[in-house]
Amino acid sequence: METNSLFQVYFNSVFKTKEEVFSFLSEIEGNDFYKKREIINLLKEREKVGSTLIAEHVVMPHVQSSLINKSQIVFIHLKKPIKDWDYHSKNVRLVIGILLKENENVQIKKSIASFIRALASEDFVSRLLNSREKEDFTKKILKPLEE
Amino acid sequence: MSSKRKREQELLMYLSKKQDFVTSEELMEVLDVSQKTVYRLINKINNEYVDGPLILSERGRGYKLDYEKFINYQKGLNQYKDGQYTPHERRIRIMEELLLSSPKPISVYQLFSHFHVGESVIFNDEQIMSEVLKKYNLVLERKNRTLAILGEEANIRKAIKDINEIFNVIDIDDLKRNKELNFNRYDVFFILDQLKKIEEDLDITIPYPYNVNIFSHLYILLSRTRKVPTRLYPDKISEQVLENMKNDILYPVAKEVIQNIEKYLNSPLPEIEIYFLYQYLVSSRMQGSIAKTSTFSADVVNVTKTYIEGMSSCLGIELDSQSLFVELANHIKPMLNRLQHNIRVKNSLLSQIKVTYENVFNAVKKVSEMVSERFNLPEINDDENGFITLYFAKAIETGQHLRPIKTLIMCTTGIGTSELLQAKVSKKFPEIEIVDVISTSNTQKSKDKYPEAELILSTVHMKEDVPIPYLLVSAMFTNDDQDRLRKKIEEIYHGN
Repeated sequence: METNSLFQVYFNSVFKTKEEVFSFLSEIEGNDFYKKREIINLLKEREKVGSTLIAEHVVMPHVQSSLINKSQIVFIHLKKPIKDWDYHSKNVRLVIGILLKENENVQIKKSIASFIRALASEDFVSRLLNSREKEDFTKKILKPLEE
Repeated sequence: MSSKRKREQELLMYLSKKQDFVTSEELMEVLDVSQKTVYRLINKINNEYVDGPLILSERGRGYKLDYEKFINYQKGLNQYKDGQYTPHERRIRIMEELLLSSPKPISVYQLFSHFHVGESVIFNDEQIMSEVLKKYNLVLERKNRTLAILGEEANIRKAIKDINEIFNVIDIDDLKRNKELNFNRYDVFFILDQLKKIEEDLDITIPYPYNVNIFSHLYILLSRTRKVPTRLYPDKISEQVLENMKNDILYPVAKEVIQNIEKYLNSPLPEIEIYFLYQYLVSSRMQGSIAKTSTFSADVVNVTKTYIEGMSSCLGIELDSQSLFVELANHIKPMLNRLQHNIRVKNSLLSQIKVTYENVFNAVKKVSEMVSERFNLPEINDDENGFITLYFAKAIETGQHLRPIKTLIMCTTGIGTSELLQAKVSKKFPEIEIVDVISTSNTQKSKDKYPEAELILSTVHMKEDVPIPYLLVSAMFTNDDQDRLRKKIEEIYHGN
């Protein structure tokens, strides 16, 4: 994590529902009640308009807000799959949360965009999904981004 | 090729096309033979191949080609074997000898002595050779136990080149090193030097297979002149044609090469040799400055256009790109010269082209017939059709023929799943041109900013009515999404 602070990685996380995950994401920048409520709200709004399932067992909830101070990509590797994320998405095992600061600078936006584009490769996603330990996982994320 | 050989080739081609296991039932149907014959063919192919089986078999799955070995095998096919001759090879050797010495008669005894064959075989060979030579308007004459081939020089040269299979497989870069070809090494070096001079004088390069064609022509010229010293050929060329040639920039180049050959052989050559060589030059595709600056004649433009239009309607797709036109016209230009001068360029990839681009090839064949008729040209043969097929296949495979569809991609924040969708779409749909990734809050603005947009792809439901065609897809871009997008694209092409 030291090399690229854009990413946060959590392994063997125990969450039973989508709401618990959203709540966790909203607290990443601290426990401000107003901010928490706003982020959860935005995440829920996004879910309402369309599924964020990006591959089998992988969801990518994302949010952009002026309340966010620092853009981050948060990996949550679940210990046990979340059975019912939504109507389309069953057995979610990996959550890739994206928190984007309003008016973020181009450089960071580019890094995030290039990471997301890497997710278009099924192979890359499956390696992320099947990774078993944090160190290994970090390597797999950082490698394509260095290119 | 015997029918058995042909079937073997068909079997191999079919397997190479499939690239996966094929059941024997399928092979029976494709080749229209019994199961026993399929087994026999496969056994024969595998037995003949030295380094283990060429065709792999697996119980319950069928047969599969070992592709790497297959490529090797194809190369091996082109190599000449020593010693034993098949009847086909024997006849070729004899025809070659007669052609090179034409019109001089050679005694039958001398011709057939190393083959140890009887009278009836010789008689039979004569019949078969007569038939072959008839196609070149040449006559095989038998007189007092001698044979001779009679006819126009241009036809004799053409027959030599076609009959000697070696001229179809040589690779210019390989010539200097390859010893199996049995070429006279001094001649090879001399001719390669002349080719280089032609390229330098004109500041062009002559690509494969045209360089091989010129090489073969010059090699045959040397062999022929040594066997039959200078004489008057019966060929007649009109004054008009000669006049036209003398005004061409290629003429001085052809003349110089012929003069060099005269020095090399230390014997004068008839004037007509310049014309023979000129025909080859004008029929070759050239890459370089003259090729670029030269504009296309009305005939070239019309024939090229007819091909593009004909192919569009045959295949039911829109083929409308400048690069296709220029590339094809650059091919058509020398092709028209080849047709006029009756020069054939062997297409060594023909059988593979036929298999890989079957539809395109058949369409080209049809259009070629139409072109011949409309422009009053000689028949356009399959070698030429094969070359033309490649231009269209390339255009189709690279999606050049498709007008790009200007597309907006939409997501709530404009950076999340839309970015992912963009990456996935551009990978699988080259015809989609993504103009921008926008967020839902900007829908109204985008319409003003991108009035030319024809399609919106979105991972979110849109609440308001959008005047632009719009397709909701999941960020996973599943097969179902891809099918629906394909349909949408067709609708858009069709609607216009």
